[in-house]
Amino acid sequence: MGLLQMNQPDIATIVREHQAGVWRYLRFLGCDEHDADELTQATFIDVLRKGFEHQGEAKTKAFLRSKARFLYLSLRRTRKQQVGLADIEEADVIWQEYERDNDGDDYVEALTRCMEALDERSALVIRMQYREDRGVADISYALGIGESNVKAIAMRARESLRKCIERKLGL
Amino acid sequence: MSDEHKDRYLDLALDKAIGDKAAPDLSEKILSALESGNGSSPADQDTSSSDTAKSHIHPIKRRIGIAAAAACAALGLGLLTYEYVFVPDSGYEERIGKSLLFSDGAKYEIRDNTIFLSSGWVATSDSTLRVKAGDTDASGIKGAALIVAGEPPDEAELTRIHTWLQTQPNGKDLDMNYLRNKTKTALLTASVMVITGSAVVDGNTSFAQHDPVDTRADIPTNARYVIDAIAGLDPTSYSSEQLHATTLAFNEATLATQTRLANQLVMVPEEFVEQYGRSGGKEAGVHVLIDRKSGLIPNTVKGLSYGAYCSFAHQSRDYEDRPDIVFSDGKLHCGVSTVGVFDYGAIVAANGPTASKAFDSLVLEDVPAELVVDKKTFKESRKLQTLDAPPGMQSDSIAPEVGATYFVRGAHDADLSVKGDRSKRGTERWDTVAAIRILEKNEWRVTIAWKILKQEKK
Repeated sequence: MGLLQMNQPDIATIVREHQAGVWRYLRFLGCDEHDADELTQATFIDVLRKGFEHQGEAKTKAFLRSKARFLYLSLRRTRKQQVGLADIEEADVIWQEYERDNDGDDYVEALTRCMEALDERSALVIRMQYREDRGVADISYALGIGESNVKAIAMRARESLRKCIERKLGL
Repeated sequence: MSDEHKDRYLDLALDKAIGDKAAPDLSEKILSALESGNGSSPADQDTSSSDTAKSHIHPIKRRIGIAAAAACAALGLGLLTYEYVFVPDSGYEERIGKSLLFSDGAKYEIRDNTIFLSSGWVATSDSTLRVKAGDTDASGIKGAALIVAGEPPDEAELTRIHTWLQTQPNGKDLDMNYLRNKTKTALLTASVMVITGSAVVDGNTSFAQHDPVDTRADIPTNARYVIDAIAGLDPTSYSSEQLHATTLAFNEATLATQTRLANQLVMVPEEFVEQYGRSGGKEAGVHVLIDRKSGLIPNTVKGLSYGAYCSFAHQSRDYEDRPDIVFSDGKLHCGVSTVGVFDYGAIVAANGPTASKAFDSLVLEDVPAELVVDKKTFKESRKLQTLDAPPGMQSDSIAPEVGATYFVRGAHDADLSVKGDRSKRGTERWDTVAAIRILEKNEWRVTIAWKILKQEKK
């Protein structure tokens, strides 16, 4: 793999088109936002430093993902936090199943439809969590129910959403 | 593991679909890092290995390619960046065994003054360090706290913690049985146990409970002056056994904690009950008010959320019962005007020879026929009435002084409850003048004796 070749997008384009996907992948693997920011940057620097030949979107995504994965595992080793390779491989299969070839748009669309099927209270808890960034204690206070109930509602709602989405995606 | 990843993917999708939070745009940051990294060795730009590439590459990427090929880049910009970013904080080692005690095999990292605990547990008395374990966040530790990521400590580990506690502030006399019992219950549903003192857990201040958890807090016989609601219960209507036996939405341990918290926070000191509490019937009482900005009330204990308010007319501490006063920011405020229904409030000092005039100034003022209520917007507003009170004495808030007496007038329309709840609506209109005397105060609470002097229900 040599330096950048003719007939391929320039670096700025590659970065702009793929940085969000790499960041999301790192978050999916388990990075917090700060680590995902730094590892995304390190991924592109590492890949582009060594030269990069564009061979299509799918291969570019896979290559960037493998580099990000490597850096993530290195980071875990540095911190003496072990992750089994089998787990990572399994995670990668899930990622590809969910992402498909449209960066997860199908998944998000299915999620939106499944949200409509949730009962009112579950949907409210989910919206308070994700739209309003409210914590369990805050939701508990606002709805006048115990924190353990909030947690249980959220857990059941998420499980229900997951099953509904997988059904819609045919997984 | 697969479920964990499926959950994370769902989280990301919910952030995007519900929270409208996309991944951050790091493009410029990355491109800038690429550019600046190569800019450090401009001389090397002439050593490009590919004329073909050079002629087609954007200036930025050309420099990248050139630098990548250069010998001076052998260390690798990515690697340098990586190491620069991820060097953990150091200097904490000497605290381990002193202010920090980790379980054997605990997995953690300390950076940015934060312990990221991924497995095991840590007992800490270090007030400068935050601890994050999963979704749990503990900080501001004043005393000692135990944070777990996974299983709670077993008996051998508890012995270690108990030994360590002997060297910590306020931990010397802590009973092993208490520690054992407490961990069994507190850590069933939480990741943090405040052993001594207090800590801010997920944004809320939590206090240690020093009594063994299986010792029930006794509701005293004079509990009439205890706050009106504990966990939604009126403790005076229940025996101690009934109170503890019921679970409501809470488990037993939580309820015991709440009862104990209630004792700590809102129980009127006995001497004040004796002196003031029993004399006035429904027209007088003693209450402890907790500063609503103290952080002690919100979300700490269900039922204590009203601890900052007091309605003389309704004998209630409930925010929705149109309170006459609220304790906030170290001041007593009257005319609580959350939705405009209590706009007609005033408070005056009632000391010495001016007392009579102060009282008259409140009583003689007519309440407007129509109180202004913006029912659509529930807009908060406060309208201090201009009364004929002695200069400097009338206000809508006062910084209470122990021993001082104040007159308070609260008038409100019952047309609308604070939250617009129709079930709370009524037709009464109350106009109350009360005297309050400040019995004690500290930075987060004030104890008042109050007596209704004049009241009209229209």
